[in-house]
Amino acid sequence: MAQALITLLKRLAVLVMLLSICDMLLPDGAMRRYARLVGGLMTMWVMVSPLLGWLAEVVR
Amino acid sequence: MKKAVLLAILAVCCLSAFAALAQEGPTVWTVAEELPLEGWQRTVDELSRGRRVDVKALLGRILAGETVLSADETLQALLAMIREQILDRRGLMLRLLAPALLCGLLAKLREAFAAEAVAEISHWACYLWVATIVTQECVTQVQVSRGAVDGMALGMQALFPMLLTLLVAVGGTSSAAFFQPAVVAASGTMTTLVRNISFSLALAYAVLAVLDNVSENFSLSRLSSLVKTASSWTLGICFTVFIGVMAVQGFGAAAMDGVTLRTAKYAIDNFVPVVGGMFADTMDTLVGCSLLVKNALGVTGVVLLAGYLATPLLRVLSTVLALRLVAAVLEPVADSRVTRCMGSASDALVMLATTQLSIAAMFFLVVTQLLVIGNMTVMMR
Repeated sequence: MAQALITLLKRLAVLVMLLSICDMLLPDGAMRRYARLVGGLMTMWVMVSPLLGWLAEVVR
Repeated sequence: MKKAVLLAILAVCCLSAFAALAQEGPTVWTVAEELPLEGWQRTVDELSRGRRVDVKALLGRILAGETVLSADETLQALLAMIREQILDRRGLMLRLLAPALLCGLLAKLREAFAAEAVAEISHWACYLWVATIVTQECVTQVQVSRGAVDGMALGMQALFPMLLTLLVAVGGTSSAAFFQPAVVAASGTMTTLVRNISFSLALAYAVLAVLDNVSENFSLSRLSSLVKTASSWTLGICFTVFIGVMAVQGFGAAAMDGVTLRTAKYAIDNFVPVVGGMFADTMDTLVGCSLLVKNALGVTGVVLLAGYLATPLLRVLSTVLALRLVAAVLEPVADSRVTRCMGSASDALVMLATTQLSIAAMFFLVVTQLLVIGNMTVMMR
């Protein structure tokens, strides 16, 4: 469980840093909005993927 | 002739008197002397880090009824420790003030920058500087807290066998049989659970709180509060289950032991001819002495536990105070993300302090229950 938590935190840290840098560097406009949407979806995926993996193991 | 012989025999009998001493019964000091305190002393020496505490002398003072530490002395010692810990945190406060002030200045002077992105990036760099210091401090405090919990568990593992032995000596055999696994659960299972789960979740909360404030557009606040809730619930549930089980089962065993002891005393008194009463009274004295020594040993253990916990707990609490003070001082000037980051990190440290206090309270309750059960067993006879 501790290992899974560490992996989740590392992934979130890298993702949030990269998304923040991209958000800062992109010019104002529609592109920035779409980039934020995609970034948000990626963050959601990283948060949910350990839970999905655990559910898949339980179902198996 | 016969008279002379009789007189001579009488004279010999009267003059050759031998000194006879009544043998002393067991006393509190004879029971205390026989306690194997070397193992506990070694553990205390290991944990006290240079400040040697003579366990035998402390036990002797408590047995004699002396005041080990008055309320005044305790308060003064506590205030001195608090002052020392707060002064120790000056470096941390200065290290946080500088980048946070710079961050605040950059946020206020945003219009002066040629490009918005330059201002954002410089502000972001200052925030990462503050976040690195805060995260490092949280990791250090987690290590301090883990050390504190491990030390308390070690100390209690050295004390419990002697307390259980004395509990058997006062007639609490069923209680000792019940408390043996309870003590293993307290010092082993519970501390492992808390150490591996609660502390990990507290650190995860601190990291998520830092990440939450990296960007205003990508928020992780709900995830961090979920982790905080999980940590609090884990601690609360473990604690409640442990205390509930011990409270319910412990007292039943004491009643049984009290009746058993009374029955044994009656049997010895009435069925052993001639010396039955003397044996029963000696058993009574021995039980009474063992009870006093057991209570003094328990009090000594609790005093040492409190003394050991004070330093790491005050260290964590002084870090909480330092972070909150810096956040409060910087709030008018610095960016809100920086002050929120410091506030959340201080919440994570409060979770660590709560966990340490919970473990100490658990050990304290186990020791007090052992003492109370022994007293009840003797009362019931």
